[in-house]
Amino acid sequence: MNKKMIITLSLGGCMLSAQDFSKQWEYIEASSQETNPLELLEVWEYFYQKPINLNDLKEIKQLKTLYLLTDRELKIIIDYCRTNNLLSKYQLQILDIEIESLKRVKDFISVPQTNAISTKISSDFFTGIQFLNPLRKGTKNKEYLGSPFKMHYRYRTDLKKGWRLGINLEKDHGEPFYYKNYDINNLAFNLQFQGKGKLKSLLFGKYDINIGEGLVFGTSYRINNPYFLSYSPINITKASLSSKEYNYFEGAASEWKIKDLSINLFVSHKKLNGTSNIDKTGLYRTETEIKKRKNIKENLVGLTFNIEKNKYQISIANLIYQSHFKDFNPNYFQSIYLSKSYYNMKYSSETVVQNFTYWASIQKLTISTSNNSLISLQFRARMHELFNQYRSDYSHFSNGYENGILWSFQHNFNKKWQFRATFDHFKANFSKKDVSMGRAIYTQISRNTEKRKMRIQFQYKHLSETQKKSQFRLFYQEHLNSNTRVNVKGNYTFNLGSLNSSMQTNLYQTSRNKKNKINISYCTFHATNSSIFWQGPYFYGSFNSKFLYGKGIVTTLSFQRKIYKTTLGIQMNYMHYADRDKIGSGNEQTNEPYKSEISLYLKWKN
Amino acid sequence: MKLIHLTWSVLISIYACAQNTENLLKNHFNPVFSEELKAIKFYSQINVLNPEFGIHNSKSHIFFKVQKRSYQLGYEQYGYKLFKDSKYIISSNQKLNGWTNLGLSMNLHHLKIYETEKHTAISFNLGLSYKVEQYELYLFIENPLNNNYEKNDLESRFILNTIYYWNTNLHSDLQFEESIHTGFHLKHRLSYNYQNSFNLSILQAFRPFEYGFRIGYKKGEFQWFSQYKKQAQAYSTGIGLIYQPVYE
Repeated sequence: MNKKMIITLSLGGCMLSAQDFSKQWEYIEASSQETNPLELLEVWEYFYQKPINLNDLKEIKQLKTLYLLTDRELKIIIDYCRTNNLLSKYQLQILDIEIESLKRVKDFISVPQTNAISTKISSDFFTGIQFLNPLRKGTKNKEYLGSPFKMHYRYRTDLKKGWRLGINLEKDHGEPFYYKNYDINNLAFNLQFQGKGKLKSLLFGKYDINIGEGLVFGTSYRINNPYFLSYSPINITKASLSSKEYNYFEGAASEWKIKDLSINLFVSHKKLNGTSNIDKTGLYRTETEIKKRKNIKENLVGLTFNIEKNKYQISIANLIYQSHFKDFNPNYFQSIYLSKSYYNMKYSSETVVQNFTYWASIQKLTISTSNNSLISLQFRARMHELFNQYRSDYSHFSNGYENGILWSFQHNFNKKWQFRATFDHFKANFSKKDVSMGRAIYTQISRNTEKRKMRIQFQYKHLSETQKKSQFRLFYQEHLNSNTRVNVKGNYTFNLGSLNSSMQTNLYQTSRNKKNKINISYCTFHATNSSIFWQGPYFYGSFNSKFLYGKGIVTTLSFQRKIYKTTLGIQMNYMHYADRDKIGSGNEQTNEPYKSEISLYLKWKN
Repeated sequence: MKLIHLTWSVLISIYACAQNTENLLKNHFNPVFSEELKAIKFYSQINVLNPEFGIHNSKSHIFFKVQKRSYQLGYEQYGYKLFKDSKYIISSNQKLNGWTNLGLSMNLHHLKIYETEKHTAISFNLGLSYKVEQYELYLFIENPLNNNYEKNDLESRFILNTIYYWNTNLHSDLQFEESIHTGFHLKHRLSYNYQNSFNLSILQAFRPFEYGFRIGYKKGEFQWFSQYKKQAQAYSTGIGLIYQPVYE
C-alpha cells in the first residue's frame, strides 16, 4: 500500500466522522478564542452542502471564510488551483500542507466532475430544545408570555435545476411562538438559485451583505480576532439561515457575471426591533419587550460592480438606505474598494462616502517578507457621523476606535511554532472635547502538532490611566490516545490592580467506531472586577459561551450518538455561584445560587 | 540477559519511588498519586503554623493494594485544641491505559469548635494523570460541587500540575491552582535527587509570594522530609515521614 493510498484512505475515514464538525472545532478552539460557534457553524454548514469548486478562481477564495487554514496554506492552495485545472480534490495532497489541514477542509471543497458529496447530500433537518432550571422570575410570575423552553428548527434542501430552499425557526426562553396577527417568532427563510450562465445567483429571503472591508456593510461572520491580519471581500451577498435577529438583510439579491465583471443588485425591506434606538437583544418575552419588536421600517437598495483579474480587484458599490430610526430620509453611500498584488506585496483599500459629506477609509499594505513571515500595515480613519449600524466588527479589538494605525507581524519558525504580534494606536472619534488616545498590544505564540497544541496569548490595552487592562491566556491540549483528548485553558485578566482568573478543563472522548462522543468540562472562576470569557465544549446547535463574573464553577456533560443518518445529542450545563444567593435581576432573576440547562438535539442528513 | 533486565527494573522502580513520594508532600492529595505507590506505604506529616497557640496541620495516610487496585486511607487535621477541622479520606483509581489514570476520593469532613459548634460534610475529588517519558500532567478537581458545612467553608479548587524531568536527578513541578474562594495561585518546585538517598527541593509561590525549601533523606524502609516555608501570613516548619515496609 503506497503512501498516497494510505492518505486517501485516512481522508475517507475522516469523512465518516466529520459531519458534526468536531475536527474543525478542535482546530478553532486551539487557534483562537471568543468566537461565535453558531455563526461559524452556519458558515461550515453552508459550504458543506455547497462545496467550494476548486476550479473556480472566485470560489477558491471562499476557503478563507472557513477559518480552517493558515494564511500560508491558503496561499499554496490558491496558487496551485490558479495554475492547474484539477480533476480531483485529492490532487491537493501533493502540496506542502499538513494532511490534518486538508482533512479539516476536505468536506467543504469539491471538483465538480468527481464531486460525490454535493449530489448526495440533498437535505438536512435539525431540531433542538433547551430547558432552564430553576425557572426565571418572569416565568413564575407569568410576565413571560411563552413557554420556558428554547426551541430551534431548521430544514434545508436542494430543489431541482439549481434551486435550494432553507427554513429556520427559533424561539428563546419565555418567548411565544406566535405574536399577534400570526407573526411567527424569528423565522428565517431563503430560496436560492445557482446558475451556470450569466446569472450566477438569485436569492430571496434572509441574507448577509459584505462590501469592501466592511466599513459600512459587513454582516457576514468574521472571527473577531486581532491576529487575523487581512480580509478580502469575496461574496457581496450570501444567503443566511442564521438565527440572528439583527445584523442581516431580507429581500432579494442577484449576481450577474459577464467575463471578469460581476454585477450585484439587491433590495431589502424589513422591520427592525427597537423604538428610538435599535434593540439588539433579540429577546421579546414580556408585553413591554414585545412592543419593541419590528417597529422601525428599513429599506436598502444596492448596486455593485466588481472587476477581478489575476492581480487586481476593483469594486464600486452604490447604496440607498433609509430607516425610521434615521428620520427615514434616504442616505446615499458610495464605496470604492481596490486591491492590487505586486510580487510579494498586496495593497488594499476601501473608501466610503455617505451623502457626499461623511467618509471613512481603510488602507492596508501586506508584505510577505519570506515564505514564513508576513507584515501588515493598516491605516484607518472614520468620521463619527458616518452610519455604523452594519459595519463589520474588525476593529472591535480596539474598542471601535476607528482612527488609528495598526501593524501586525506573523512568523512561522517552522511547521510547529508560530509567533504573532499586533500593535495598535488608536484615537476616539466620538468625543471632540475629551480627546482619548489608546494603544493595544496583542501577542501570541503557539506550538501545534497533531498530538499536542499549546498557545500563550498576552494582550495589553491602555485607554487612560484608569482604563488599562492586561490579559494572559493559556491553552494546552494533549491527545491522550487516538480517541481521547484533554485541554486546559487559563484566563488571567489584570484590571485596576486585581487579578480575575478562571481555569477550565475539557475532556473529549470518542468511541472506537466514532459514533458516540462524550464531553466533560469543568471550570473554576474568580472574577471580582472584570468578567472572564468561558466557552464550553463544542456541542452542535448550542451557543456555549458566557462571560462569567463573580466566584463559582461551571460544569458541562454532553453525549452525542450517531445512528445511521441521524445524530442525537444531550447536554447538561450546571453553574454554581459561591458569592451570592440569587442570580440575575428583574425577570431573569432566580432565587437559587445555581443555574442548570438541559439541551437536546436531533440532526438528520440525507 | 535476565539479570540485566532484573537489575534495570529494580533501578527503575527505585527511581520511580524516589520521585513519586514527593507528590505526597503537596498541599493537596490527588487520588491518582496512590496508583504510583506500588507497595504498602505509611506516610505522616506535621506542619506547625503557630507554635504559640499550637496551630498545626497534620496528615496520616496509608496506601495499599487489593486485587491489583491501589487504595488510600487518610486522616488530616487542621487547627488547635479549641478548633479542629478534620477530614477522613478514602480514594482509589482506575488505569485507563498505559499513560492515563483516573482517580476518585471521597472525603468526610468534620468541624468541631470547642463547646459551641459541630458540623459534618461530604465531598469528593477527581484526579487525572498523564505520563510520558519526560513529563507528567496531573489534573485535580477538589470538591467540584462546592459542598460546604454552612456556606463556602470548604475549599473548592482546580489544580494543574506539570512535571518536567530535566534529567534523571532534576525535575520541575509547576502548579496552576484556581480556587473559587481565593482565586489564582502559581507555585513552582525544583527538586534534586542525589543517589536516591538525598533530596533537596526549592519551593516558590508567585501569588501570594512564598518561598521555602525541603530536605529529604532515604535510608532503608524510611524516608524523612524536613520543610521550612515562609508563607504570606506566617512561617511554617514541618516534618514528614514515609515508611515502606516491603520493597517493590
